[in-house]
Amino acid sequence: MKAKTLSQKLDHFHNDEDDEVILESLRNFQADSIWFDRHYEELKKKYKEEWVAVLHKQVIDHGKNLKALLRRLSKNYPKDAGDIVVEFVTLEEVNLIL
Amino acid sequence: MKIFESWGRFDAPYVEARFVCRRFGIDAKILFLIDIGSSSTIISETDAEKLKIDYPPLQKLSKGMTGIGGSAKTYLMEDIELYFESDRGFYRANHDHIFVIKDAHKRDRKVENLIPSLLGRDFLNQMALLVDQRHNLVLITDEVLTV
Repeated sequence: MKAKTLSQKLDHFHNDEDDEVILESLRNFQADSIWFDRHYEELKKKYKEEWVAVLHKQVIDHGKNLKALLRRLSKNYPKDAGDIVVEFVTLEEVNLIL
Repeated sequence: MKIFESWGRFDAPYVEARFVCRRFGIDAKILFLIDIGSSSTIISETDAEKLKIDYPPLQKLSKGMTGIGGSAKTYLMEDIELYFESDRGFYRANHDHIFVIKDAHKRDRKVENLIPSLLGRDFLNQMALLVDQRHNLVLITDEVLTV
């Protein structure tokens, strides 16, 4: 395998109209990720050991089975399915050492 | 170019990206933990599910990934585009390949659920990275930083 695996086009910046729409959806995804983190303690009380789906700073669905939840999201939010923050909520205190 | 991000779960720096794989028709958002300890950019098993990545078409590496937390089966996914929001609009990074892991913590599903995808040194080594949790600052830039 080659040692250098990443090629980057440093001059590749877009700013057309379509990109503005995608940038907005990326900003919304970021805002929903932050919302999830900030409300984690509340979410733990309501959705312990469940997957939670957040869109536009609201919990839109939840469940214990990730595959089933993703299927529902694809069905119920076909345009937004790739923009939804889906995270696991657990009561366990986990220290992540990667 | 500057990419500003923030601190998130596990008191770690994160960055959001648009993940595009044209070969498999994948276009979705993903959250990466910024990890200079990881040599490569890695997609976790749960994020692979969220992105609807199928493992069978991917090349399985004979040697899996090994880290402090253990080892995992590793698959190769080629021709990935990652888009980040920067102060100059989209910043696109083309990855010839990234790794997708499976069964990292088979015996503890809850832990598996929490393992994030990692933005590794294959990307970060071409950038400067500035992190300061005191000021909730995470900055990735291709500019020269002077201290």
